[in-house]
Amino acid sequence: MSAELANIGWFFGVVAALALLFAAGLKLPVRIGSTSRVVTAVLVVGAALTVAILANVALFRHDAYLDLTREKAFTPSAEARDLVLALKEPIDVAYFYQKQNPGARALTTMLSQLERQNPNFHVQLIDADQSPALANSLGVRTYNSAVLRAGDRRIEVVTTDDREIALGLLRLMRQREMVVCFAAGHGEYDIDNFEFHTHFEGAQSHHHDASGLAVVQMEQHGIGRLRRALEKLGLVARKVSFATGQAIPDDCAVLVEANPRTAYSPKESELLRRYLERGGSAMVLVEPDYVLDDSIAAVLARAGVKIGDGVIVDPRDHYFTDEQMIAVSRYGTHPVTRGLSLSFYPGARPLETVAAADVRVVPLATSSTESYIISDRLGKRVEPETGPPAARIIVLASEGRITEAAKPFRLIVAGDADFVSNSFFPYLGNSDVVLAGIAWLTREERAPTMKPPVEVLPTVTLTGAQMRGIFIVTVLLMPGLVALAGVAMWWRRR
Amino acid sequence: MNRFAWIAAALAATAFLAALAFTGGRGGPGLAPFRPAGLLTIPAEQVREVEVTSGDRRWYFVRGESGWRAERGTVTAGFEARLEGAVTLLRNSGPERILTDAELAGVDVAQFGLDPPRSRVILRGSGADSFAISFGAANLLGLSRYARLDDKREIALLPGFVPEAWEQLGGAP
Repeated sequence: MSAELANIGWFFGVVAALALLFAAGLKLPVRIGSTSRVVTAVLVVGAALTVAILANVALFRHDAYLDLTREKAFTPSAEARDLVLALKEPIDVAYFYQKQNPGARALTTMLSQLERQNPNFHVQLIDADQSPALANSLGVRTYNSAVLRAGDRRIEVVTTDDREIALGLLRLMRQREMVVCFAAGHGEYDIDNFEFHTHFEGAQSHHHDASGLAVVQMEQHGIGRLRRALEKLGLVARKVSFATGQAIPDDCAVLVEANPRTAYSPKESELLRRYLERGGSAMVLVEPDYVLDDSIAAVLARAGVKIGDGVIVDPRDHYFTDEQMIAVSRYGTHPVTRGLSLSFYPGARPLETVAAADVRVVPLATSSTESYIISDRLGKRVEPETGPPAARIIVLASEGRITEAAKPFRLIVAGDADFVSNSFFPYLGNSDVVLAGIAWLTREERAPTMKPPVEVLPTVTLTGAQMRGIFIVTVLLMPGLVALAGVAMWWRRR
Repeated sequence: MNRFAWIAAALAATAFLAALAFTGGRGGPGLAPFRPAGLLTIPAEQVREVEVTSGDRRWYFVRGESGWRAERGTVTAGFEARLEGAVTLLRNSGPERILTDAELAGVDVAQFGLDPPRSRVILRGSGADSFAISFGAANLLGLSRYARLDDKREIALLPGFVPEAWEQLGGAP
C-alpha cells in the first residue's frame, strides 16, 4: 500500500509540476528582456522540450505505476515481489504468451514490473504465434507457458497468474528434494483423499463432529489439499508406516502425524524419539478424543509438551456460533507466526508446556482468556469443569535437544487435527499456519514464503463477537435510534 | 426565443423521435446473421477452376455443366463433395489471428513453413478474378496453421481443418 501511495504521489507530483509550468507559461511575458523574437521563440521551444524530457525521465526513473483495477489485475502479488526481491542468483524467464489472451497480457505487464525489482530476474516476453521455432527449441507445446531457468535447472509453468510463476521460482531455487513424510498405519488422515466436505449429518442439524454418528457415517476427512499445496511448493509428499518397525527414513525432512486413531506401541514411540534425536522435525496433530499411550506422551514430555484432555470452549473468540470452533487472531512471536491472519480450530484439546532441559517451547496459538475446558464435547454442560476461564494453548512449537549428545530437533504440536483437513484447510489462515509450520520444520523459514493459490470462493468470515457486534448495531441500535427519534419528535410536537 | 422558433423546435424534436421510432431494429436474442469470415473473397458458387498442390501431389479441377471433374490428380469417389466442402471452409472460416507487417518485422518467417509451403491452393472465378493461398506449419498447439495470400505480406493463423480439407482432397488420409 505504501508503495502504491508513493507511486500516486510521484504521478500527481509530476502532473502538478507540469500544470504549474503551463499556468506560468500563460502568465509570464512572451518576450524575454530585449532579446529578439526568434531568440525568444527558440528559448521557449528549448524550455518546453527540456521540461517534457525531464518529466518523462522523472516518471521513468521513479517507476510511477498505477493499477486502478479493483482486483489489482496488473500488479504482482506481494509474495511474488518478495520472492523476486530475494533472488540471489540469475533467473531467466521466457514467457510464451498468447496475445489474444487478456490474462496473459496482464501477466506480461506484471513480469515486466518484477524484472525492474531485481537485476537477477531476466524476463523475455515472446508472442508464441510470432516465434514458434523458439518455442519448439525450448520444448514449449502450449500457450502461456513460462520457462524458468537457473543454470542447468529448468522448470516450465503454464499459467496467467504471477503467483504460479513465483511458486515455480520457489521450486527452481530449491537445491535438493525435500520430502514431507506422512505417518500411516494408525488410521491417520489420508494424503490421497481429496474429499473436502465429508462429515456427519445429524437428525437435528449439521455437524462436523460425531453428534450425527448414529444417522450417517461418511468417510473420514483427508488431507489431499494439504498434499497438493505442498507439491505446488515443490515438496514431495510420501507416506511412511511405523508398524513395520523400520526407522523413520533419514530423507524425511518433516514427519507429519495427522490425526492418529489407534495407540502407538512403545516400539513405535521409540522410533519417533530416535528420529527426533537424529535432528528430525515432526508435526503432531491430535484430536480431543484420541487417547495417547504413555510411551508417546513420554517422548513429547521430553520435548517440553504435554497434551491435555477435554475440549476447549471459547465463548469470546469462535467461528460463527460454535464456541468449540476456536478462532485465533493473535499468535505467539515465532518465525511460524509471521504475518498470520485469522485461523480456526474446530474442536481443540488444550496443550501445556512442561519443563525440559535444552528445549525451548513457544505457544503459537491460544484461545481467549475467557475459554474453559469441558470433558464431554457432545454433552449439554456449558460451564467450566476445570478451574477458572483462562487462555489455553492450541498449537505450540518446540526446539532443542532430546539428549545432550543429540542433534537439535524441531517439533510442532497441535491439539486439533481437522483444521488441516480438506474441509477446513483452505479457509481463513489455516493453510498459512500449516505451511508456515512446515517451512519452519524444514528449516526453510528464512527462504521466501509463498502460499499456493487455493481455490475457494471469496468469503467474509466473522468471529462470534464480531457477529454479535454487527447484530447489535444493525438490528438493535440503528432501528432503535430511528424509533427513539420518532418518539422524541412526537413528544416535542405534542 | 419567439413563439415560432419554439414551434419549429418542437416539430423538429417530434420529427426526430418519429424518425428514430420508424427506423433501426434489434436482432433476435442470441442470433447473429451469418457472414462468411474466410480469406476467400470469391463466392463459392462462382469458383470455376481449382489447382491444389500438397507435397508431391497435384490436382486440377474444373467445374462444368454437370459439376466438378478432375483434370489432373488421383481422386476417389465423392471428391466433388470434399472439394465443395474445402472451398466453403476457405470462404466461411475466418483466421484466428493475422500477424501484421509490423509484427513480422525482425521475425524469421522461415519458421512459419511457408517457403516452400506445405500446400498451396489457387482458385479462379468465372471472371478474371483469382485467389491463391499457401499453407505452412502448425502453430504451438498444432490446432492452427500459418497461411499467406499471394498478394499479401501478412500471415494468417487459420484453423487447422481448413488446410486439412485441401490436403485430403484426393481421398488419402
